[in-house]
Amino acid sequence: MTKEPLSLVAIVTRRIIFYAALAMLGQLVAVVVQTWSDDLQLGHMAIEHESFALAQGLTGEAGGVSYNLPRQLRGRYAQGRRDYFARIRSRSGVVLFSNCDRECADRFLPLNIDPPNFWVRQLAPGKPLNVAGGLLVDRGVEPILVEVAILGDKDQVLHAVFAHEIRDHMAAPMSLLLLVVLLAAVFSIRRALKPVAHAAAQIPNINPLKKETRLATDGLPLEVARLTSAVNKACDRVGELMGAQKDFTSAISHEVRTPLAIAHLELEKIADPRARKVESDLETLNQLVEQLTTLARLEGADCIPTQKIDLSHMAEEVVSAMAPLVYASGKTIELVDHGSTAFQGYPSLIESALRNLVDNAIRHTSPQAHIRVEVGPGPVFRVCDDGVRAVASQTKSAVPSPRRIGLGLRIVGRIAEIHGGHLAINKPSGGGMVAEVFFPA
Amino acid sequence: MRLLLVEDSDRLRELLTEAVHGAGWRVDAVATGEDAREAVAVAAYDLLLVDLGLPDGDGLDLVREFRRGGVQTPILILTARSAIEERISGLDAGADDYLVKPFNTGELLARCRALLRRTPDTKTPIFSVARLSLDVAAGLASSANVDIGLAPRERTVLEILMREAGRVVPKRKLEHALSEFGDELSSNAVELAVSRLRKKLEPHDSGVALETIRGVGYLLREVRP
Repeated sequence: MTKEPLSLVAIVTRRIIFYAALAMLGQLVAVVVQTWSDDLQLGHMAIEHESFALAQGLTGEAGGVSYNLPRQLRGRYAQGRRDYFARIRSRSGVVLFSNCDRECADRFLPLNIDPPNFWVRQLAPGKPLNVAGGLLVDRGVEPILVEVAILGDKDQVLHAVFAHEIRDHMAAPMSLLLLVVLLAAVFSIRRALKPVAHAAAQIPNINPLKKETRLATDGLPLEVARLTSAVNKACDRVGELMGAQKDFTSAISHEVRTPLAIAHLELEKIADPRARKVESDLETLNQLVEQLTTLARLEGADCIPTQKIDLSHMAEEVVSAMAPLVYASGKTIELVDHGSTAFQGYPSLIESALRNLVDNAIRHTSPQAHIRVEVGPGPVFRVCDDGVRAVASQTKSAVPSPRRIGLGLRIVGRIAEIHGGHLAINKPSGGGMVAEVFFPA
Repeated sequence: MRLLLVEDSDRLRELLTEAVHGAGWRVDAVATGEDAREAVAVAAYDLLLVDLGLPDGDGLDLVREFRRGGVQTPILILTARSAIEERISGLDAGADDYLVKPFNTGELLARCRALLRRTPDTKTPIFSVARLSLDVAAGLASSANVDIGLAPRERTVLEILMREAGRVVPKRKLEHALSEFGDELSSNAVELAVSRLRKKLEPHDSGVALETIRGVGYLLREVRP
């Protein structure tokens, strides 16, 4: 089964997402490399990150500010740890929380100093991170200074810093940008493709033989207009070829059939039974010419627009047209209508298929055979006969019978194929033949 | 009856002329569209037989030109082009019938007779098929000059079938014709009329057969000995 092709919108969306992801990855790598190489910047970010996290424990009350170490930080800033220190104090120097001993207090600003809004100090260069700093946060009555010292960063605070950086400063703004770009792209594509959809809807109505059925190029984007013009040129070319083929088959028919007509009329004047034999051969030859020209016409026949097919009406016309020939050959014919449903197709081809099957039944059955043409139920017709068929060795024709080379049935099969249907041949045990042509509903 | 034959093949023209003469009709035979135009301009014909592949143009254009010029004469196209679309375009151009080459004399003459019967100003409204004839004005049917007594409905059916002899007449056309008798038409009125007509024709050696094409209609055809 052929995979359904993707729509242009789906292709463009996928590509935009892919390239946006690629750009984000590139930017991420660049930011990480740049930040990683700048220890002071890293320290700055780490102090800021931890200060904000610690400030979550501040609560403003009527009597002043109190502090409770946030649950997730209790392990990191536990009393007695020697690598992560925190001190929360008011601007005036009242300490609300501290896991810091006298030695570590030296790393922070003295309590009697009015602190700046933010400060950071590198305690040792390079990695792992050794840094101390503080951030003044405004909480109600007076600003509170949150001070942090990180010595070695065993808890990988830097990972959390990077994750926060990526989430807040890259993913969120770029996702918003991506969404806007995607919506704009989908909208633009749909708008640009509207005339293309209109042109595509016109395609089934193109008849290569009729210039007036070409696609309109007005109002189309340049690239699409070029494609449409190319399609129109291709249709012109197909039309020329179809026209040439039509002329060719017509000329062949004329060149062969006129001498055949002469021979027929000449032979009628000869009473000898051998003349009847030659007449029969000429008829077979004529049938061969007919079928070859029909076969030639079939190629490209599906380039013209389809029409609504009423099988019941068509079968009535074909049976009416062929009945005189059927009865003249000593056979009988009837039409049984089981109720067909209308479908889209090529009337001349379907009529040709039905004629071919009836013709086949007339030519290849024993005298007194009965031919039954059935239509429906649904988009199907069948031609049944109860005749005994002549085997090839019994016919001594000078011209190979078209039946022997299977041309008639090949034509019918091809016509069914052109419509997306199929031909089925059954030979019931009681004799005769049933040829069924199914069309898609 | 006078016919005009337009056919570019010399031998075919000779043979067709001979066949038409054999039917007791006069025929003027020309090879080109130009000669055909001149002939139609100066003489009155009952039927035109036109080949499509003419040396000085397409026969279809000639047919269209005649119809545009007010020529009412029935036209039978003789052609090698057998595709259904081509037959349709022939009839659309104004032709009355279409005969694809090769054909036999019997078929050609039968088509000619059918077209001549359709001519609106036929002076003698007598239809003949083989030995069967029907005088519409007198309401008399006969086979080899032996009268066949027919009821009005049977006569109506026979008239329609003889007018279209050699062709299938849809059953609904006969129903429509019989419904004009005024009475409530029973569901099998056509079958009854055809059955009675067939029985009345049977004893006569009229040379015709009345066939029932089930699901379609009826066919009155000439039976060859």
